[in-house]
Amino acid sequence: MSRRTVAGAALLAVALALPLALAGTRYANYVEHLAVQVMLMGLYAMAWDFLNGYVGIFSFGHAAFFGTGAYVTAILIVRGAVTSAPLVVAAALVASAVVGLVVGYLASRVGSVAVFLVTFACAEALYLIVLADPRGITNGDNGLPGVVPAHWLGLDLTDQVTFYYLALTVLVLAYLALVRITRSQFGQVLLGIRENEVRVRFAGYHVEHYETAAVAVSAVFAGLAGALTALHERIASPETLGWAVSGDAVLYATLGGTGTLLGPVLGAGLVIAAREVLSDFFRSWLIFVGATYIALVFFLPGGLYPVLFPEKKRR
Amino acid sequence: MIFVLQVLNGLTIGAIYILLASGLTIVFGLQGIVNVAHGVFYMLGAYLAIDLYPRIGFAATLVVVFLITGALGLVLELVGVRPLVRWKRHGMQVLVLTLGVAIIASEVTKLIWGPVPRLSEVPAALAGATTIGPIVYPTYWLFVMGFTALFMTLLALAFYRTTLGILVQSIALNSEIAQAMGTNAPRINSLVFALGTGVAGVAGVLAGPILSVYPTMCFDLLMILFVVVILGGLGSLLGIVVSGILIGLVNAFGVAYLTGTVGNILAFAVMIAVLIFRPLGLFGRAGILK
Amino acid sequence: MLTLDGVTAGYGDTTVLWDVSLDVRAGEAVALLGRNGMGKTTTLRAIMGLNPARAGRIAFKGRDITRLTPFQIARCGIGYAPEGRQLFAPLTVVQNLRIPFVNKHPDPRQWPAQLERVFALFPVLRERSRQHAGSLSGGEQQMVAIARALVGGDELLVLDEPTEGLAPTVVAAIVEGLRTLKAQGQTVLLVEQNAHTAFAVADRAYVLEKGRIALARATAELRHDAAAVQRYLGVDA
Repeated sequence: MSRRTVAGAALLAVALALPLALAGTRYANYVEHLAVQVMLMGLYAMAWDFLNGYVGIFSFGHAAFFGTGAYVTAILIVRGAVTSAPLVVAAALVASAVVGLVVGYLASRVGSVAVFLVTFACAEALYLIVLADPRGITNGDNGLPGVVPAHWLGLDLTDQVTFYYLALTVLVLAYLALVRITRSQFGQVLLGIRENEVRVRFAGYHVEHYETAAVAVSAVFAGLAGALTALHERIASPETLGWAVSGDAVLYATLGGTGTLLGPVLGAGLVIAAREVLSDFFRSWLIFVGATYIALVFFLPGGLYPVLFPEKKRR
Repeated sequence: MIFVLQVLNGLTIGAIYILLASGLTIVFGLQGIVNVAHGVFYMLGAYLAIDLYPRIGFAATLVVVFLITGALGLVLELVGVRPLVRWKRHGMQVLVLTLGVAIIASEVTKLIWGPVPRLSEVPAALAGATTIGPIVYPTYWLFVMGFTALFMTLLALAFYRTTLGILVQSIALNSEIAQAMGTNAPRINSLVFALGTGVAGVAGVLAGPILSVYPTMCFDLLMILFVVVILGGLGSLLGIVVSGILIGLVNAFGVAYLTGTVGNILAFAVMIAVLIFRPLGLFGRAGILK
Repeated sequence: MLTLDGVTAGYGDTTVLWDVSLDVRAGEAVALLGRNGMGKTTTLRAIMGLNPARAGRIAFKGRDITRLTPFQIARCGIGYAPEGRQLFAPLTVVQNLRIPFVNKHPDPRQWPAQLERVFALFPVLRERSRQHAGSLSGGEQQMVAIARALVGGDELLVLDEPTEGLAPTVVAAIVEGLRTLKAQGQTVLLVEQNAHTAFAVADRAYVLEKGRIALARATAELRHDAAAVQRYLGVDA
């Protein structure tokens, strides 16, 4: 049994038991709320890591997908009066996929460094559009509150504990799905593109199509995280499309460990926990973030994951 | 008449974009890295100008800011970028590093100078308006345009006529072979990087009276800057001149006829449209060209 | 002048050269022969510091250059003409030549003299001097590449396949040029797949096989050893 499996199993067990252990205590809600944030941001960062660590596309605009998921969910519920959670989330996923295809199309055609800039630009464009709110749909910089879904299969999704387990389930399933994808033929081609694009091209694969598809896949998972976040927080705010959120994906993944899928979840957990604890002490949380980026680059370029679990990554 | 004024506005804004973009795009052409902290030097220039101008006058401010932001840029390059390039970890790592620097700088600026935006003064010597035929236009804005035009001309001359310029081109074309020909690429790269940040600082001084000065300006302008650089083609001087002017115009007309943020969105739309047909930008190619 | 001692080098995870030792004495022309993929270019790149040696020692004029950066090595007095020419295409011929001169030659006033020396060797270049290097023919580009290695006044010329892919008449012109240089006392290390060129120019030859030195002989001997030539180079001498 590798260290990784043991740690993973233990973590899962803790996660499952947490609400039960906390039930009735004063800070149950607070901790669970935080834990859900960690899981959803972890999912979001996992989606980013899929694109960066396995395909080699460094996106600095993942907020575009996250925010799309959040806003589509919010708009449908608040403006469209569609309250069926699965329907709304499904729509959010489709929307994210579409945005992913567009961004992916662009990203696959520019050079590897320009991808950073282009994805950033796309996210900013969406951000500005939502802020400007030309048709009065998004409510501009106030965000869109009142995102309350109807009960689903008898479950009250506004209940913290219920949502906690929902998020946990989604996270685990998403992880398994992404692992499956990376091991599929599609995933192998993507890995090949990352390692040696020219050779893959000569083998007859249309690289741009694969890259576009990869971005779309990543977008769907990121959008899922966004949609669930909107349901969880019951509001969709423009920040979900901002560069800070894009940067968060990068931070969680690079801290936790790129190319590992689980590392980002770890990173998300650490950063969110630290933010809670430290933002009372530091006037400027962002300075800490900036310093972490710098320290990472010099001391932990692979993130924490390879330090904790130094086995060779399975491809 | 209004049309002409808007064109002039666009050219002025475009001039600032061009000044800033030149540093970014040349450094990319040379080392293949993106300096996300480029906007920080611009911001620093703007803030320093507010404090310095009343004391030492405009011309001196330009020089001092250039030296300060250039020196700071040199430090960043030597301490941060060079080791990463040497460990062959550039690209994404430099990006993350400079991003960290930018975030810290922005926050520190907010802490020191406060979050409230400011507008710096137009230098007395350039205040007022100039009349050209039927057009009356602020003198300072004309100055900014002229300054940029002069700068870009000098830059082009430096690239194509001087030995140093040829060395720089050779590094951009084939850094390995340039070094095998005895070119001290690391030193030249550092020099160019520092010049780029110095110019960014100067751009900040110039832009102060035109755009407002606030702690997140390093990021907001960076966004447009990226559009300019990508649209023009990474590593192309001619590219940024053309795209700088284009985006400046788009912005000016966008702001005038539609609301402010839409102007920015238009810029993105233009970039995306061009990228679909020319993924490398208007003039993108390996190596620097005019 | 140049010594390689037990040099091991490669790319990424692969090792291409194993324990290679060779030397080039002043005034000699030495050829490094072998078929494709045997490690000839890797050897030159290791010398120039472009693919630094992982083990072993490289010394030039008594100085250890194993760990120096490429531009430092070039400035020690080694002129390099890489495989595939790799000229700076948008720059003119003169500009291409100016670069190594400016970097390496101790006396800036010698520029006209060095240019003249190069044009005397390859007269064709005189007319082409203001043209973009990329617009020249293959043979002319090769001449520029060799000129580039020369113009800095270096003591050692390192040439990687100077006649590759060129028409026989052009090859002859280049071989003539190299022989002239040698007669002038220039020390040369050249990599060649083409045995004829090597034999026409070099005094001694090393043969690389799968990253190791298999043979070290005087070319006068080697050219008559048809069996060896066939075995290692797959060509009839």
